[in-house]
Amino acid sequence: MTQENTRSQRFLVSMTPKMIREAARNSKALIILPTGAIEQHGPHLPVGVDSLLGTSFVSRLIAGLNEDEPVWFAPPIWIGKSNEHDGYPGTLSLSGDSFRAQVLSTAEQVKQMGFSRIALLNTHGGNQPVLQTTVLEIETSFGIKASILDSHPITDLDPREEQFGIHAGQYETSLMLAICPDMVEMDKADCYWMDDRFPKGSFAAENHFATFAWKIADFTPSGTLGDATLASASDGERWVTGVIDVLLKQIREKVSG
Amino acid sequence: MSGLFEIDADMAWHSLPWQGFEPSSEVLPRMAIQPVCAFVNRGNDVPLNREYEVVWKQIEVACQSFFSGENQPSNLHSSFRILPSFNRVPNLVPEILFGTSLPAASKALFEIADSVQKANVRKIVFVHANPILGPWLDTVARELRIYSDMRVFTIQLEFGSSEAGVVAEERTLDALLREVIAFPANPPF
Repeated sequence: MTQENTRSQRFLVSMTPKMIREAARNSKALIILPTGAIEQHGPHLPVGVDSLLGTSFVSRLIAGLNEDEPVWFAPPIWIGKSNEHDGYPGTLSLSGDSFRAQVLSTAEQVKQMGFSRIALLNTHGGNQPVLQTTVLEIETSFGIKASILDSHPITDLDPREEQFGIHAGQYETSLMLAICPDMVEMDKADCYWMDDRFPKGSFAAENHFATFAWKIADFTPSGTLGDATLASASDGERWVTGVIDVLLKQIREKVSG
Repeated sequence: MSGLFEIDADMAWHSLPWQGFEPSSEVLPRMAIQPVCAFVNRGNDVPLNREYEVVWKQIEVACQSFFSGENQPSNLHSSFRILPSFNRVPNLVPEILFGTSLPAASKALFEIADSVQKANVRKIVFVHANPILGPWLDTVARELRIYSDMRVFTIQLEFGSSEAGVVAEERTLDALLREVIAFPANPPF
């Protein structure tokens, strides 16, 4: 079997019904559903960043898995919920409701195929709230184990960049320089900070007891949040390696439990 | 197929930065191609992605033909962009896998088309290879035309024709796509 065949046969849709039935006989088998987005990523990156990163992570995960590890990939959802990027053309967005429906129905069919574990590999922050409620729905509605994989590694980013460089900033631009350098126009890289424009007070953008529903355009005219000018391919390669390490660790815990 | 995302597609929608879709952009596409590819159980020993492969093979052939020889569009990079495959089609028959309900599939396709219109692209063409999906796509296309005033087209490919090469020349995908590009931006009457 060639490496390419091995890779393609990690995808459920590259398998035959007979192969899928055999895979589902292993009660520890894990199905990974990648979810991403196609949305503006500043003037220097293509709109496909989140899904390109997801595709790269999947390829590297497959390369890192041992042949006997029972891990398979469902067809990805590459257009996610990106309505916070309203106003930037090129962004393709589903509503939260439609995105939820796609995830739920995928999980339902995974269950019908005989699998009992699903993990979501999400590469777009805007999808996260929908996924957090949907995994609960999957568990209660279909009785299978559902979880979201954490794909953010430990980095040596400046604290401001780590907290507020949330979109097309140093981190994402570095990852793109590592995986798709031809698609990055560093001469157009720029820097905007959401904390410069956020009103002082109790309300925060996210992960806080008091939040407000923001759009990217509230904070940045170019679509960048963070300092993309500091990005480098070498940092990106280190962080991509970190992403794969944290993902493989979680995946191995899930298939061994 | 390395990962079900057409990462290397020269004319992929996802490879442009957002300013490429501004009205003043020199590379603003004139139309969006939306491949609609069901994953289908065609028997115990047939991969589920056969239809997906057929649709993308024909698109690849059409692109090669489009960009070679005579009659090339005046500005290749503003001619069209290809969207990611729409795979969550309605579960109309048990053989269709990884789909959703018909209302959910219609809503999602509507939302993608709405995003396309917000990207200042007024034409969208649904390309598929499944006769069962034809009436559904016709319904979505008509509703889009009414509610969004986009120019909406559907093209059903002949399943297997990419391998047999039996499609009559006037029905090749690139010829059909050229017609869509030339179709008047405003209604003809």
